[in-house]
Amino acid sequence: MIRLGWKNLIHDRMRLSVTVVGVTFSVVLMLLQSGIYFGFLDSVSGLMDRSPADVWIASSKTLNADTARAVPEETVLRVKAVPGVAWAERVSLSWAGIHLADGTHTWVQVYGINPDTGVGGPPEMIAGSLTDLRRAGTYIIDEASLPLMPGVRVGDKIEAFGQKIEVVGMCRGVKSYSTYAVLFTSYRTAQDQLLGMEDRVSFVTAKFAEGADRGAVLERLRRLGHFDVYTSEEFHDKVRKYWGSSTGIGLGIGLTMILGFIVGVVIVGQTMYSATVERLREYATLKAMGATNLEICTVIWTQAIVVGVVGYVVGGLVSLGLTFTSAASVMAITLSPQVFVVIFVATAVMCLGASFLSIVRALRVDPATVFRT
Amino acid sequence: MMLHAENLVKIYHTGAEEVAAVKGVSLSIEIGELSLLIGPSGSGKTTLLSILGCILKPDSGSLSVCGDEVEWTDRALALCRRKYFGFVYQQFNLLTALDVRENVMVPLMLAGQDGSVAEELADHALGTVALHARARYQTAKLSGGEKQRVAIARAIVADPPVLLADEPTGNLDSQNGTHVMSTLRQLATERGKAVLVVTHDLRYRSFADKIYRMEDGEVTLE
Repeated sequence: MIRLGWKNLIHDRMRLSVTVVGVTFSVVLMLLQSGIYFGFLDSVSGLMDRSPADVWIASSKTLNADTARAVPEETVLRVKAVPGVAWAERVSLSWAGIHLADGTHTWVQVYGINPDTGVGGPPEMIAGSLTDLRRAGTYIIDEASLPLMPGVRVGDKIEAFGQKIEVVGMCRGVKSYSTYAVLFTSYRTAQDQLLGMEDRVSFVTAKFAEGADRGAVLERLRRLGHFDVYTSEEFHDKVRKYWGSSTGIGLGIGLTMILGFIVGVVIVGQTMYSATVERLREYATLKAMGATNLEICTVIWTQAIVVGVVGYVVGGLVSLGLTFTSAASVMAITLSPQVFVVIFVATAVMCLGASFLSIVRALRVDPATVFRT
Repeated sequence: MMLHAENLVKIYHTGAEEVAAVKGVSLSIEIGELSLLIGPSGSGKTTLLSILGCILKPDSGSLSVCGDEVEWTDRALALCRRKYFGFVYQQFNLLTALDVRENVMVPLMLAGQDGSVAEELADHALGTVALHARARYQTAKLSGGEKQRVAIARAIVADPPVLLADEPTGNLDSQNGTHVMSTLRQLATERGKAVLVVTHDLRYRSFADKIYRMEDGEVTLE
Protein backbone atom coordinates (compact mmCIF):
# COMPACT_ATOMS: atom_id res chain seq x y z
CA MET A 1 0.00 0.00 0.00
CA ILE A 2 2.99 2.26 0.51
CA ARG A 3 3.75 1.72 -3.17
CA LEU A 4 0.21 2.74 -4.13
CA GLY A 5 0.41 5.85 -1.94
CA TRP A 6 3.70 6.82 -3.59
CA LYS A 7 2.34 6.16 -7.09
CA ASN A 8 -0.82 8.16 -6.38
CA LEU A 9 1.38 11.04 -5.29
CA ILE A 10 3.72 11.16 -8.28
CA HIS A 11 0.90 10.48 -10.75
CA ASP A 12 -0.36 14.04 -10.34
CA ARG A 13 2.85 16.05 -10.32
CA MET A 14 1.23 19.46 -10.44
CA ARG A 15 -0.75 18.72 -7.29
CA LEU A 16 2.36 17.23 -5.69
CA SER A 17 4.33 20.39 -6.52
CA VAL A 18 1.65 22.66 -5.05
CA THR A 19 1.52 20.58 -1.88
CA VAL A 20 5.30 20.48 -1.48
CA VAL A 21 5.50 24.25 -2.06
CA GLY A 22 2.85 24.70 0.63
CA VAL A 23 4.74 22.55 3.11
CA THR A 24 8.01 24.24 2.17
CA PHE A 25 6.51 27.67 2.74
CA SER A 26 5.15 26.57 6.09
CA VAL A 27 8.46 24.97 7.14
CA VAL A 28 10.47 28.06 6.09
CA LEU A 29 8.09 30.29 8.02
CA MET A 30 8.26 28.15 11.14
CA LEU A 31 12.02 27.60 10.94
CA LEU A 32 12.92 31.23 10.25
CA GLN A 33 10.57 32.56 12.91
CA SER A 34 12.08 30.10 15.39
CA GLY A 35 15.54 31.07 14.18
CA ILE A 36 14.80 34.77 14.53
CA TYR A 37 13.35 34.21 18.01
CA PHE A 38 16.33 32.20 19.24
CA GLY A 39 18.72 34.50 17.40
CA PHE A 40 17.13 37.41 19.22
CA LEU A 41 17.41 35.61 22.56
CA ASP A 42 21.05 34.77 21.81
CA SER A 43 21.62 38.48 21.17
CA VAL A 44 20.04 39.58 24.43
CA SER A 45 22.03 37.02 26.42
CA GLY A 46 25.14 37.42 24.27
CA LEU A 47 26.93 39.48 26.89
CA MET A 48 26.72 36.61 29.39
CA ASP A 49 27.33 33.90 26.82
CA ARG A 50 30.59 35.33 25.47
CA SER A 51 31.98 36.14 28.91
CA PRO A 52 34.11 33.65 30.87
CA ALA A 53 32.65 34.99 34.15
CA ASP A 54 30.78 32.71 36.56
CA VAL A 55 28.98 35.45 38.47
CA TRP A 56 27.17 38.66 37.51
CA ILE A 57 26.53 41.38 40.04
CA ALA A 58 24.02 44.07 39.12
CA SER A 59 21.97 46.71 40.87
CA SER A 60 19.12 45.33 42.95
CA LYS A 61 15.77 44.53 41.30
CA THR A 62 17.33 44.34 37.86
CA LEU A 63 14.76 43.17 35.29
CA ASN A 64 17.25 42.50 32.52
CA ALA A 65 20.69 43.54 31.35
CA ASP A 66 19.41 46.70 29.64
CA THR A 67 17.62 48.13 32.61
CA ALA A 68 20.38 47.54 35.16
CA ARG A 69 21.24 50.74 37.01
CA ALA A 70 24.94 51.43 37.18
CA VAL A 71 26.77 50.47 40.38
CA PRO A 72 29.79 52.26 41.88
CA GLU A 73 33.02 51.14 40.27
CA GLU A 74 34.58 50.45 43.65
CA THR A 75 32.20 47.46 43.90
CA VAL A 76 34.73 45.55 41.80
CA LEU A 77 37.32 45.92 44.57
CA ARG A 78 34.89 44.63 47.18
CA VAL A 79 34.04 41.63 44.98
CA LYS A 80 37.73 40.87 44.41
CA ALA A 81 38.25 40.82 48.14
CA VAL A 82 35.64 38.12 48.72
CA PRO A 83 37.26 34.76 49.51
CA GLY A 84 36.69 32.25 46.70
CA VAL A 85 36.74 34.88 43.94
CA ALA A 86 39.58 34.39 41.44
CA TRP A 87 39.06 37.67 39.63
CA ALA A 88 36.47 40.39 39.14
CA GLU A 89 35.92 42.66 36.18
CA ARG A 90 33.88 45.68 35.14
CA VAL A 91 31.42 45.75 32.26
CA SER A 92 29.24 48.64 31.26
CA LEU A 93 26.33 48.88 28.87
CA SER A 94 24.79 52.14 27.74
CA TRP A 95 23.21 53.91 24.79
CA ALA A 96 24.02 57.16 23.08
CA GLY A 97 23.38 59.21 19.96
CA ILE A 98 25.96 59.68 17.21
CA HIS A 99 26.24 62.17 14.32
CA LEU A 100 27.71 60.69 11.16
CA ALA A 101 29.68 62.70 8.60
CA ASP A 102 26.72 62.91 6.23
CA GLY A 103 24.56 64.42 8.97
CA THR A 104 22.75 61.22 9.86
CA HIS A 105 21.91 60.86 13.52
CA THR A 106 21.80 57.35 14.85
CA TRP A 107 21.83 55.49 18.15
CA VAL A 108 24.44 53.09 19.36
CA GLN A 109 24.64 50.45 22.03
CA VAL A 110 28.03 50.71 23.74
CA TYR A 111 29.73 47.96 25.74
CA GLY A 112 32.47 49.21 28.08
CA ILE A 113 35.06 46.53 28.84
CA ASN A 114 38.54 46.18 30.21
CA PRO A 115 40.74 46.03 27.06
CA ASP A 116 43.45 44.18 28.95
CA THR A 117 41.25 41.22 29.93
CA GLY A 118 38.63 41.39 27.18
CA VAL A 119 35.91 40.16 29.57
CA GLY A 120 32.53 40.92 27.95
CA GLY A 121 34.26 41.86 24.72
CA PRO A 122 33.63 40.67 21.17
CA PRO A 123 34.33 37.03 20.31
CA GLU A 124 36.35 37.79 17.17
CA MET A 125 38.35 40.78 15.88
CA ILE A 126 38.61 41.23 12.12
CA ALA A 127 40.47 44.56 12.16
CA GLY A 128 42.53 46.19 14.90
CA SER A 129 42.95 44.87 18.42
CA LEU A 130 41.15 45.11 21.74
CA THR A 131 44.23 46.69 23.26
CA ASP A 132 43.70 49.63 20.90
CA LEU A 133 40.88 50.57 23.25
CA ARG A 134 43.43 51.51 25.93
CA ARG A 135 43.62 54.91 24.27
CA ALA A 136 40.87 57.23 25.44
CA GLY A 137 38.05 57.96 23.00
CA THR A 138 38.56 54.84 20.88
CA TYR A 139 35.83 52.45 19.77
CA ILE A 140 35.41 49.15 17.91
CA ILE A 141 32.39 48.53 15.70
CA ASP A 142 30.80 45.18 14.90
CA GLU A 143 30.64 44.46 11.16
CA ALA A 144 26.93 43.58 11.37
CA SER A 145 26.29 47.17 12.52
CA LEU A 146 27.89 48.79 9.47
CA PRO A 147 24.53 49.12 7.65
CA LEU A 148 23.30 51.11 10.65
CA MET A 149 26.28 53.47 10.42
CA PRO A 150 26.69 53.90 6.68
CA GLY A 151 30.08 55.07 5.48
CA VAL A 152 31.90 54.43 8.75
CA ARG A 153 35.31 52.76 8.39
CA VAL A 154 38.15 51.81 10.70
CA GLY A 155 40.23 54.92 11.30
CA ASP A 156 37.31 57.33 10.99
CA LYS A 157 36.84 60.04 13.55
CA ILE A 158 33.22 60.86 14.08
CA GLU A 159 31.23 63.11 16.30
CA ALA A 160 29.48 61.35 19.14
CA PHE A 161 27.93 62.53 22.36
CA GLY A 162 29.30 66.02 21.69
CA GLN A 163 32.88 64.73 21.38
CA LYS A 164 35.15 63.28 18.69
CA ILE A 165 35.56 59.52 18.86
CA GLU A 166 37.81 57.26 16.80
CA VAL A 167 36.89 53.89 15.27
CA VAL A 168 40.03 51.76 15.78
CA GLY A 169 38.82 48.28 14.98
CA MET A 170 36.11 46.00 13.73
CA CYS A 171 34.77 42.86 15.33
CA ARG A 172 32.42 40.05 14.38
CA GLY A 173 29.78 38.02 16.16
CA VAL A 174 27.80 40.54 18.21
CA LYS A 175 24.38 41.27 16.76
CA SER A 176 22.22 44.04 18.02
CA TYR A 177 18.83 43.04 19.37
CA SER A 178 17.51 46.54 18.80
CA THR A 179 17.84 48.89 15.86
CA TYR A 180 21.05 50.28 17.37
CA ALA A 181 24.59 49.73 16.13
CA VAL A 182 26.95 47.88 18.48
CA LEU A 183 30.18 49.53 19.64
CA PHE A 184 32.84 48.44 22.14
CA THR A 185 35.04 50.75 24.14
CA SER A 186 37.00 50.63 27.37
CA TYR A 187 34.99 51.06 30.54
CA ARG A 188 37.18 54.12 31.25
CA THR A 189 36.14 55.79 27.98
CA ALA A 190 32.55 54.86 28.70
CA GLN A 191 32.82 56.50 32.10
CA ASP A 192 34.40 59.61 30.57
CA GLN A 193 32.11 60.02 27.57
CA LEU A 194 28.75 58.42 28.28
CA LEU A 195 25.99 59.94 30.31
CA GLY A 196 25.39 58.41 33.73
CA MET A 197 28.53 56.27 33.77
CA GLU A 198 30.86 58.55 35.73
CA ASP A 199 32.78 56.33 38.21
CA ARG A 200 30.21 53.67 37.68
CA VAL A 201 29.83 50.39 35.79
CA SER A 202 26.73 48.43 34.78
CA PHE A 203 27.91 45.08 36.07
CA VAL A 204 30.69 43.51 38.01
CA THR A 205 31.52 40.03 36.82
CA ALA A 206 33.60 37.50 38.71
CA LYS A 207 35.15 34.07 38.39
CA PHE A 208 35.09 31.44 41.12
CA ALA A 209 38.50 30.43 42.39
CA GLU A 210 39.39 26.83 41.63
CA GLY A 211 37.99 24.51 44.29
CA ALA A 212 35.89 27.26 45.88
CA ASP A 213 32.53 26.39 47.43
CA ARG A 214 30.34 28.18 44.89
CA GLY A 215 27.30 28.36 47.13
CA ALA A 216 29.33 29.90 49.93
CA VAL A 217 30.96 32.42 47.57
CA LEU A 218 27.59 33.48 46.21
CA GLU A 219 26.30 33.88 49.77
CA ARG A 220 29.26 36.10 50.66
CA LEU A 221 28.72 38.19 47.53
CA ARG A 222 25.04 38.65 48.41
CA ARG A 223 26.07 40.03 51.80
CA LEU A 224 28.09 42.81 50.12
CA GLY A 225 25.10 45.11 49.84
CA HIS A 226 22.01 45.87 47.82
CA PHE A 227 23.01 44.00 44.72
CA ASP A 228 21.50 41.23 42.63
CA VAL A 229 23.95 38.36 42.40
CA TYR A 230 23.44 35.79 39.67
CA THR A 231 25.40 32.90 38.29
CA SER A 232 25.99 33.28 34.55
CA GLU A 233 23.30 30.65 33.86
CA GLU A 234 20.79 32.45 36.08
CA PHE A 235 21.43 35.82 34.46
CA HIS A 236 21.35 34.23 30.99
CA ASP A 237 17.98 32.65 31.77
CA LYS A 238 16.63 35.83 33.40
CA VAL A 239 17.24 38.11 30.42
CA ARG A 240 16.00 35.53 27.92
CA LYS A 241 12.87 34.93 29.96
CA TYR A 242 12.26 38.67 30.22
CA TRP A 243 12.54 39.29 26.49
CA GLY A 244 10.86 36.04 25.51
CA SER A 245 7.90 36.12 27.90
CA SER A 246 7.47 39.56 29.41
CA THR A 247 7.50 41.44 26.13
CA GLY A 248 5.25 40.85 23.12
CA ILE A 249 8.15 39.55 21.05
CA GLY A 250 7.73 35.88 21.94
CA LEU A 251 3.98 36.08 21.46
CA GLY A 252 4.29 37.86 18.12
CA ILE A 253 6.78 35.36 16.75
CA GLY A 254 4.79 32.47 18.22
CA LEU A 255 1.65 33.68 16.45
CA THR A 256 3.51 33.89 13.14
CA MET A 257 4.72 30.31 13.65
CA ILE A 258 1.17 29.17 14.36
CA LEU A 259 0.06 30.98 11.22
CA GLY A 260 2.72 29.10 9.24
CA PHE A 261 1.49 25.84 10.74
CA ILE A 262 -2.11 26.64 9.85
CA VAL A 263 -1.16 27.61 6.29
CA GLY A 264 0.57 24.25 5.95
CA VAL A 265 -2.42 22.35 7.35
CA VAL A 266 -4.80 24.16 5.00
CA ILE A 267 -2.70 23.64 1.86
CA VAL A 268 -1.83 20.00 2.57
CA GLY A 269 -5.34 19.23 3.80
CA GLN A 270 -7.05 20.87 0.83
CA THR A 271 -4.87 19.25 -1.84
CA MET A 272 -4.94 15.82 -0.21
CA TYR A 273 -8.67 15.97 0.33
CA SER A 274 -9.38 16.90 -3.28
CA ALA A 275 -7.05 14.10 -4.45
CA THR A 276 -8.87 11.64 -2.18
CA VAL A 277 -12.30 12.70 -3.43
CA GLU A 278 -11.12 12.22 -7.02
CA ARG A 279 -10.01 8.69 -6.16
CA LEU A 280 -12.97 7.64 -4.00
CA ARG A 281 -13.95 4.98 -6.52
CA GLU A 282 -10.44 3.57 -6.35
CA TYR A 283 -10.61 3.41 -2.56
CA ALA A 284 -13.97 1.66 -2.92
CA THR A 285 -12.34 -0.81 -5.32
CA LEU A 286 -9.57 -1.49 -2.80
CA LYS A 287 -12.17 -2.06 -0.08
CA ALA A 288 -14.13 -4.38 -2.37
CA MET A 289 -10.93 -6.37 -2.83
CA GLY A 290 -10.69 -6.71 0.95
CA ALA A 291 -8.39 -3.82 1.88
CA THR A 292 -8.59 -3.09 5.60
CA ASN A 293 -9.01 0.38 7.08
CA LEU A 294 -5.35 0.33 8.09
CA GLU A 295 -4.33 -0.38 4.51
CA ILE A 296 -6.48 2.49 3.23
CA CYS A 297 -4.94 4.75 5.88
CA THR A 298 -1.47 3.58 4.83
CA VAL A 299 -2.09 4.81 1.27
CA ILE A 300 -3.03 8.28 2.51
CA TRP A 301 -0.43 8.45 5.29
CA THR A 302 2.28 7.56 2.78
CA GLN A 303 1.29 10.58 0.71
CA ALA A 304 1.19 12.81 3.80
CA ILE A 305 4.58 11.62 5.03
CA VAL A 306 6.25 11.97 1.63
CA VAL A 307 5.04 15.55 1.07
CA GLY A 308 5.96 16.32 4.69
CA VAL A 309 9.50 14.96 4.37
CA VAL A 310 10.13 16.51 0.94
CA GLY A 311 8.66 19.86 2.04
CA TYR A 312 10.67 19.72 5.24
CA VAL A 313 13.95 18.97 3.47
CA VAL A 314 13.40 21.70 0.86
CA GLY A 315 12.20 24.14 3.53
CA GLY A 316 15.16 23.27 5.74
CA LEU A 317 17.63 23.88 2.92
CA VAL A 318 15.96 27.18 1.98
CA SER A 319 16.06 28.28 5.63
CA LEU A 320 19.70 27.31 6.00
CA GLY A 321 20.50 29.23 2.81
CA LEU A 322 18.67 32.33 4.07
CA THR A 323 20.37 32.01 7.45
CA PHE A 324 23.76 31.71 5.78
CA THR A 325 23.19 34.72 3.56
CA SER A 326 21.99 36.78 6.52
CA ALA A 327 25.01 35.89 8.66
CA ALA A 328 26.72 39.21 8.04
CA SER A 329 23.54 41.24 8.35
CA VAL A 330 22.17 42.95 11.40
CA MET A 331 19.59 40.18 11.90
CA ALA A 332 20.53 37.25 14.10
CA ILE A 333 19.06 33.89 13.10
CA THR A 334 19.94 30.85 15.20
CA LEU A 335 18.91 27.47 13.81
CA SER A 336 19.96 24.82 16.28
CA PRO A 337 19.55 21.06 15.78
CA GLN A 338 16.82 21.16 18.46
CA VAL A 339 14.85 23.70 16.38
CA PHE A 340 15.10 21.41 13.35
CA VAL A 341 13.87 18.45 15.40
CA VAL A 342 10.92 20.42 16.82
CA ILE A 343 9.92 21.77 13.40
CA PHE A 344 10.23 18.28 11.92
CA VAL A 345 7.79 16.99 14.53
CA ALA A 346 5.50 19.98 13.85
CA THR A 347 5.65 19.24 10.10
CA ALA A 348 4.84 15.57 10.69
CA VAL A 349 1.90 16.51 12.92
CA MET A 350 0.80 19.09 10.33
CA CYS A 351 0.82 16.64 7.40
CA LEU A 352 -0.67 13.69 9.28
CA GLY A 353 -3.28 15.97 10.87
CA ALA A 354 -4.11 17.46 7.47
CA SER A 355 -4.76 13.96 6.12
CA PHE A 356 -7.43 13.34 8.76
CA LEU A 357 -10.39 14.48 6.66
CA SER A 358 -9.09 12.55 3.65
CA ILE A 359 -8.88 9.41 5.74
CA VAL A 360 -12.37 9.88 7.15
CA ARG A 361 -13.72 10.34 3.62
CA ALA A 362 -11.88 7.32 2.21
CA LEU A 363 -12.88 5.06 5.10
CA ARG A 364 -16.53 6.04 4.78
CA VAL A 365 -16.76 5.12 1.11
CA ASP A 366 -19.10 2.19 0.52
CA PRO A 367 -17.36 -0.63 -1.38
CA ALA A 368 -20.69 -1.40 -3.03
CA THR A 369 -20.27 1.79 -5.08
CA VAL A 370 -17.87 -0.14 -7.32
CA PHE A 371 -20.88 -1.71 -9.01
CA ARG A 372 -22.46 1.63 -9.84
CA THR A 373 -21.89 3.11 -13.25
CA MET B 1 -20.82 -26.29 -3.84
CA MET B 2 -18.55 -23.31 -4.26
CA LEU B 3 -21.12 -20.64 -3.48
CA HIS B 4 -24.44 -21.32 -1.82
CA ALA B 5 -27.00 -18.68 -0.84
CA GLU B 6 -30.06 -19.52 1.21
CA ASN B 7 -33.11 -17.32 1.51
CA LEU B 8 -31.28 -13.96 1.20
CA VAL B 9 -33.37 -10.86 1.92
CA LYS B 10 -32.37 -7.23 1.52
CA ILE B 11 -34.74 -4.37 2.15
CA TYR B 12 -33.89 -0.71 1.53
CA HIS B 13 -35.63 1.93 3.60
CA THR B 14 -36.39 5.15 1.75
CA GLY B 15 -38.09 7.42 4.27
CA ALA B 16 -41.25 5.63 5.30
CA GLU B 17 -41.16 3.43 2.22
CA GLU B 18 -39.57 -0.04 2.16
CA VAL B 19 -38.19 -1.49 -1.04
CA ALA B 20 -37.39 -5.20 -1.05
CA ALA B 21 -34.45 -5.45 -3.46
CA VAL B 22 -33.80 -9.12 -2.75
CA LYS B 23 -36.68 -11.36 -1.67
CA GLY B 24 -35.69 -14.72 -0.24
CA VAL B 25 -33.15 -15.63 -2.92
CA SER B 26 -31.53 -19.05 -2.87
CA LEU B 27 -28.98 -20.18 -5.45
CA SER B 28 -25.86 -22.27 -5.87
CA ILE B 29 -22.84 -22.00 -8.12
CA GLU B 30 -20.62 -25.02 -8.60
CA ILE B 31 -16.93 -25.45 -9.30
CA GLY B 32 -16.15 -25.03 -13.00
CA GLU B 33 -19.54 -23.53 -13.71
CA LEU B 34 -20.38 -20.23 -15.40
CA SER B 35 -23.76 -18.84 -14.40
CA LEU B 36 -25.51 -15.83 -15.80
CA LEU B 37 -27.75 -13.60 -13.74
CA ILE B 38 -30.03 -11.72 -16.08
CA GLY B 39 -32.90 -9.39 -15.56
CA PRO B 40 -34.16 -5.87 -16.26
CA SER B 41 -32.72 -2.74 -14.66
CA GLY B 42 -33.87 -2.30 -11.06
CA SER B 43 -34.59 -5.98 -10.59
CA GLY B 44 -32.01 -6.26 -7.78
CA LYS B 45 -29.15 -7.94 -9.69
CA THR B 46 -26.42 -5.62 -8.41
CA THR B 47 -27.72 -5.80 -4.84
CA LEU B 48 -27.70 -9.59 -5.00
CA LEU B 49 -24.21 -9.59 -6.51
CA SER B 50 -22.99 -7.29 -3.71
CA ILE B 51 -24.38 -9.70 -1.10
CA LEU B 52 -22.95 -12.77 -2.83
CA GLY B 53 -19.58 -10.99 -3.03
CA CYS B 54 -19.62 -10.24 0.73
CA ILE B 55 -19.70 -6.50 0.04
CA LEU B 56 -23.22 -5.87 1.31
CA LYS B 57 -24.85 -7.39 4.40
CA PRO B 58 -28.30 -8.96 3.87
CA ASP B 59 -31.11 -8.39 6.34
CA SER B 60 -31.55 -12.15 6.63
CA GLY B 61 -30.47 -15.37 5.02
CA SER B 62 -27.17 -17.20 4.87
CA LEU B 63 -24.27 -17.56 2.51
CA SER B 64 -21.48 -20.10 2.38
CA VAL B 65 -18.36 -19.97 0.25
CA CYS B 66 -16.29 -23.13 -0.23
CA GLY B 67 -18.26 -24.65 2.60
CA ASP B 68 -17.47 -21.83 5.05
CA GLU B 69 -20.46 -20.01 6.48
CA VAL B 70 -20.03 -16.25 6.00
CA GLU B 71 -19.91 -14.21 9.20
CA TRP B 72 -21.47 -10.78 8.60
CA THR B 73 -18.92 -8.61 10.43
CA ASP B 74 -16.90 -5.97 8.57
CA ARG B 75 -13.58 -7.63 9.30
CA ALA B 76 -14.79 -11.13 8.40
CA LEU B 77 -16.34 -9.82 5.18
CA ALA B 78 -13.12 -8.07 4.16
CA LEU B 79 -11.14 -11.27 4.78
CA CYS B 80 -13.76 -13.27 2.89
CA ARG B 81 -13.52 -10.95 -0.14
CA ARG B 82 -9.75 -11.18 -0.11
CA LYS B 83 -9.71 -14.96 0.19
CA TYR B 84 -12.51 -16.16 -2.04
CA PHE B 85 -13.45 -13.56 -4.64
CA GLY B 86 -12.22 -11.91 -7.77
CA PHE B 87 -14.32 -9.06 -9.11
CA VAL B 88 -14.77 -7.75 -12.64
CA TYR B 89 -16.70 -4.52 -13.10
CA GLN B 90 -18.45 -2.76 -15.96
CA GLN B 91 -16.32 0.36 -15.32
CA PHE B 92 -13.11 -1.72 -14.99
CA ASN B 93 -12.16 0.19 -11.81
CA LEU B 94 -8.42 0.11 -12.49
CA LEU B 95 -6.16 2.28 -10.36
CA THR B 96 -5.06 5.16 -12.57
CA ALA B 97 -1.71 5.79 -10.91
CA LEU B 98 -0.53 2.22 -11.43
CA ASP B 99 0.62 0.60 -14.63
CA VAL B 100 -0.94 -2.58 -15.96
CA ARG B 101 1.28 -5.00 -14.04
CA GLU B 102 0.94 -3.04 -10.80
CA ASN B 103 -2.85 -3.04 -11.15
CA VAL B 104 -2.81 -6.78 -11.47
CA MET B 105 -0.53 -7.04 -8.44
CA VAL B 106 -2.92 -5.17 -6.10
CA PRO B 107 -4.67 -8.29 -4.68
CA LEU B 108 -1.22 -9.78 -4.05
CA MET B 109 -0.08 -6.61 -2.30
CA LEU B 110 -3.17 -6.82 -0.10
CA ALA B 111 -2.20 -10.40 0.69
CA GLY B 112 1.26 -9.18 1.71
CA GLN B 113 3.03 -10.39 -1.44
CA ASP B 114 5.25 -7.96 -3.27
CA GLY B 115 8.47 -8.04 -5.23
CA SER B 116 9.56 -10.43 -7.94
CA VAL B 117 7.23 -13.30 -6.98
CA ALA B 118 4.22 -10.98 -7.23
CA GLU B 119 5.50 -9.64 -10.56
CA GLU B 120 5.83 -13.17 -11.91
CA LEU B 121 2.29 -14.03 -10.83
CA ALA B 122 0.99 -10.80 -12.38
CA ASP B 123 2.78 -11.51 -15.64
CA HIS B 124 1.35 -15.02 -15.64
CA ALA B 125 -2.18 -13.63 -15.13
CA LEU B 126 -1.58 -11.11 -17.90
CA GLY B 127 -0.45 -13.97 -20.11
CA THR B 128 -3.79 -15.69 -19.47
CA VAL B 129 -5.61 -12.68 -20.95
CA ALA B 130 -2.98 -12.19 -23.70
CA LEU B 131 -1.79 -8.84 -22.34
CA HIS B 132 1.72 -9.73 -21.26
CA ALA B 133 3.18 -7.28 -23.77
CA ARG B 134 1.28 -4.39 -22.15
CA ALA B 135 2.63 -5.00 -18.64
CA ARG B 136 4.39 -1.61 -18.33
CA TYR B 137 1.66 0.41 -20.04
CA GLN B 138 -0.32 3.03 -18.20
CA THR B 139 -3.94 1.90 -18.10
CA ALA B 140 -5.12 5.18 -19.65
CA LYS B 141 -3.44 4.08 -22.91
CA LEU B 142 -5.41 0.84 -23.16
CA SER B 143 -8.61 0.23 -25.11
CA GLY B 144 -11.81 -0.69 -23.26
CA GLY B 145 -11.39 -4.36 -24.12
CA GLU B 146 -7.80 -4.35 -22.90
CA LYS B 147 -8.80 -2.63 -19.68
CA GLN B 148 -11.40 -5.31 -19.02
CA ARG B 149 -8.82 -8.02 -19.65
CA VAL B 150 -6.51 -6.32 -17.16
CA ALA B 151 -9.39 -6.34 -14.69
CA ILE B 152 -9.86 -10.08 -15.31
CA ALA B 153 -6.13 -10.66 -14.78
CA ARG B 154 -6.41 -8.73 -11.51
CA ALA B 155 -9.43 -10.82 -10.51
CA ILE B 156 -7.62 -14.12 -11.02
CA VAL B 157 -4.06 -13.28 -9.97
CA ALA B 158 -4.52 -14.39 -6.37
CA ASP B 159 -6.29 -17.54 -7.60
CA PRO B 160 -9.66 -17.00 -5.88
CA PRO B 161 -12.21 -19.82 -6.32
CA VAL B 162 -15.10 -17.47 -7.24
CA LEU B 163 -15.27 -14.78 -9.93
CA LEU B 164 -18.11 -12.27 -9.83
CA ALA B 165 -18.55 -10.06 -12.87
CA ASP B 166 -20.97 -7.14 -13.06
CA GLU B 167 -21.88 -6.31 -16.66
CA PRO B 168 -18.31 -7.07 -17.83
CA THR B 169 -19.27 -6.50 -21.45
CA GLY B 170 -21.38 -3.42 -20.79
CA ASN B 171 -18.77 -0.96 -22.06
CA LEU B 172 -17.38 -3.10 -24.85
CA ASP B 173 -18.19 -3.70 -28.49
CA SER B 174 -19.47 -7.14 -29.43
CA GLN B 175 -16.07 -8.46 -30.51
CA ASN B 176 -14.38 -7.45 -27.25
CA GLY B 177 -17.47 -8.55 -25.29
CA THR B 178 -17.28 -12.00 -26.81
CA HIS B 179 -13.54 -12.14 -26.07
CA VAL B 180 -14.15 -11.29 -22.42
CA MET B 181 -16.96 -13.86 -22.09
CA SER B 182 -14.75 -16.48 -23.73
CA THR B 183 -12.01 -15.76 -21.22
CA LEU B 184 -14.43 -16.10 -18.31
CA ARG B 185 -15.80 -19.33 -19.76
CA GLN B 186 -12.25 -20.64 -20.11
CA LEU B 187 -11.45 -19.76 -16.49
CA ALA B 188 -14.48 -21.76 -15.35
CA THR B 189 -13.74 -24.77 -17.53
CA GLU B 190 -9.97 -24.93 -17.37
CA ARG B 191 -9.24 -23.46 -13.95
CA GLY B 192 -12.31 -24.68 -12.11
CA LYS B 193 -13.51 -21.24 -11.11
CA ALA B 194 -17.11 -20.68 -10.13
CA VAL B 195 -18.14 -17.71 -12.28
CA LEU B 196 -21.25 -15.60 -11.91
CA VAL B 197 -21.83 -12.95 -14.56
CA VAL B 198 -24.51 -10.29 -14.21
CA THR B 199 -25.63 -9.14 -17.63
CA HIS B 200 -28.61 -7.86 -19.51
CA ASP B 201 -27.14 -8.94 -22.82
CA LEU B 202 -28.83 -12.19 -23.84
CA ARG B 203 -26.36 -12.77 -26.70
CA TYR B 204 -24.02 -14.40 -24.18
CA ARG B 205 -26.47 -17.10 -23.06
CA SER B 206 -24.48 -19.69 -24.94
CA PHE B 207 -21.48 -19.25 -22.61
CA ALA B 208 -23.53 -20.22 -19.54
CA ASP B 209 -24.06 -23.50 -17.74
CA LYS B 210 -26.92 -22.00 -15.75
CA ILE B 211 -29.04 -18.91 -16.19
CA TYR B 212 -30.73 -17.24 -13.26
CA ARG B 213 -33.43 -14.73 -14.08
CA MET B 214 -34.12 -11.98 -11.57
CA GLU B 215 -37.26 -9.90 -11.47
CA ASP B 216 -38.61 -7.74 -8.66
CA GLY B 217 -36.07 -9.16 -6.23
CA GLU B 218 -36.88 -12.80 -6.92
CA VAL B 219 -34.66 -15.28 -8.73
CA THR B 220 -35.71 -18.22 -10.85
CA LEU B 221 -33.52 -20.79 -12.56
CA GLU B 222 -34.23 -21.04 -16.28
